[in-house]
Amino acid sequence: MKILVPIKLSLDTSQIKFDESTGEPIYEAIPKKISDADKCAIEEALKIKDKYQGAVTVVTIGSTKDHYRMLRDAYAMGVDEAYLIKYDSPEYIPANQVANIIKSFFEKHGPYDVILMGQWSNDTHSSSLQGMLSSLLNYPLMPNVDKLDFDGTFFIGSSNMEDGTYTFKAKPPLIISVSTEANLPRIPTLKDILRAKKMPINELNISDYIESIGKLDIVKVSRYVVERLRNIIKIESEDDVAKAIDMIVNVLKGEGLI
Amino acid sequence: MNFEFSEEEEMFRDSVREFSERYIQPKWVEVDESNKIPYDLIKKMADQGLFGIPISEEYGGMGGTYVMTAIAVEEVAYYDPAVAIAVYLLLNNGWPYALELFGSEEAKSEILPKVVSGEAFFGIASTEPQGGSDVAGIKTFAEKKDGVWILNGEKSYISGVREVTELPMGGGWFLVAKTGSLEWGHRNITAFAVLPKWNGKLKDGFKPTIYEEIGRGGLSTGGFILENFEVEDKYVIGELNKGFYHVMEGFNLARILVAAACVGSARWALDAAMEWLRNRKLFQDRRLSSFQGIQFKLAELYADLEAARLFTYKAAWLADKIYKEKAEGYNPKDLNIPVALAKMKAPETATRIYEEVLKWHGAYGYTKESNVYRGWIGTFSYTIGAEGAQNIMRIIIARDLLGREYVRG
Repeated sequence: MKILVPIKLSLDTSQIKFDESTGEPIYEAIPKKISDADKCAIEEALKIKDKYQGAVTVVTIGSTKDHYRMLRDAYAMGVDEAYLIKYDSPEYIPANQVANIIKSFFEKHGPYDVILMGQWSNDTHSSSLQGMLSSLLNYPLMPNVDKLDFDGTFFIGSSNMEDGTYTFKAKPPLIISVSTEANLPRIPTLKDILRAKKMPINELNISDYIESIGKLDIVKVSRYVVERLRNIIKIESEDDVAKAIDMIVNVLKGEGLI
Repeated sequence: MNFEFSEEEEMFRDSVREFSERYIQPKWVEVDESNKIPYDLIKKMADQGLFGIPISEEYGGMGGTYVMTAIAVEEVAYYDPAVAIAVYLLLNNGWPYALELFGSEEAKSEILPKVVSGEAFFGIASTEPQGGSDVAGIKTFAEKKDGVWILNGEKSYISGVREVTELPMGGGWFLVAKTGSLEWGHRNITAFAVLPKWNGKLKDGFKPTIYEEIGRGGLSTGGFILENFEVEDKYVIGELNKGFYHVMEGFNLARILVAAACVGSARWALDAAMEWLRNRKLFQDRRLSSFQGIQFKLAELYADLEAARLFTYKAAWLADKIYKEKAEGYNPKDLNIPVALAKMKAPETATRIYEEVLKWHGAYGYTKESNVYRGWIGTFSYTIGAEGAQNIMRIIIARDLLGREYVRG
């Protein structure tokens, strides 16, 4: 089975630092890493490979040292091929064009039986790529699975939605997006890392995959601030606790929260 | 000159960091309190390849460098600042590597794969009740009878006594004993791989005791008496009557990792403290970090920590030149001063950092809830001895600087 995993280098949102005066992120101080859900997608692909054999390919768009490192990390996890479609500002490529680039990659290097991808990236959370790719490739989409099994013929995935847990079943070819709940990605050993060092990172020109790139400007990113009511209810003695609870309940009811 | 880690070293550091964050950080306090590293954690570390980092692949190891070994120990100590797990890791890398350097092919093939797999422990046993620093004065005696070595004597303050008896396979130590005569001196000492428990069976003539220590709880310290304990000839490490020199080279290797453990633990202490300083507010909403008295001290402590870290990695880099690359013009004696600097500087820096950090935390720092004291007591053990007392480090540095003939009284 041939599996393609498109991956994205994103901001490590656990380490975001904001400029106190402007409220904007200090990008140069934020480490970059593979999107968490993309890493889980690689893990799912490798689990299938471990059990049923096959080949796992990862592809990303970018050009920085961090992009090379991300692909090296994917090799250390155990993927078979890593491709870097070179472009200096991948964060400004609109999602529909990313989808077209991946489609073009699929046609030149594929076909692939399964495309496994992260539900969303750490930094934009748009979840748009999976649907676009499904449409462009005419592959069914098993969306946002928290648990995935493959019995050799069928994929069975379950997804926890607000209205309940959905269980899907489908045969390849298909696209599956996975959440960070799907697994705990493997951590490469030193041997894996030393082996990965010898693997080639295949560099590709973006112009071979798309004619022209439009730019989606990100005009401003600012810290999301939750406005607090700071409603303080004071009590004089322990005897007033019950009264205070009633008052809190009334406030919450007034806000429509309960 | 290059002060950067290579890409593989960085990748390895990140992998150990991720492993430690996932499996060690949630357990370190429990390990310290229960006086035991759970076997499933030891097995996980083994599966992650953490016990054979510098060991050659032919013995099941990772074939990595000594710099990589130091990186792993530093990172594990960051997530286990009480350092028991880091010390278990360093002993189970440093001394097996010394065995690989000097041991017989038979012993290496038999012991090293079991250490790498986590089934066995292999540490160091040189200290005796009359003292640890005076290796030339040991009294444990080995004599050969009918082709088998018979060992008699007592070792004390030895790490891993309970682990050797409890691990499924067992294990033992790089042990030094007098051979030939009991006189004080360096030239009548031989090193042995002594395995009181092997293949799951405890051997006769081994009487262990476990000591109760004040810190670094996860790793046992104890002593044992050897009474007519039999050791096969294949377990002689290196040349007969050259054991003193072999164990000193082993100490140099292990001391680098001791320094790395102290650096990792102290790094955690400073990181935790900085988080506290940034957020703790007093005197009309002033951050603790805004007081220059604290800033000055922080800068000094950080400088000391960076110095200790540089000493540590310079020594590890040099160990790779000597033992891994076998580079021309480098020999084991070149390690004496760089290693002594690292081993002298790192534990003393770590305990000084802990002392300040504890004070910055105020009364909370003196509670068990703050956990800061665990790192303080843990790293303090290395200012006393363990892999060499601090003043022995000073003697080594002064002796090599002045010249041996000028330091005799």
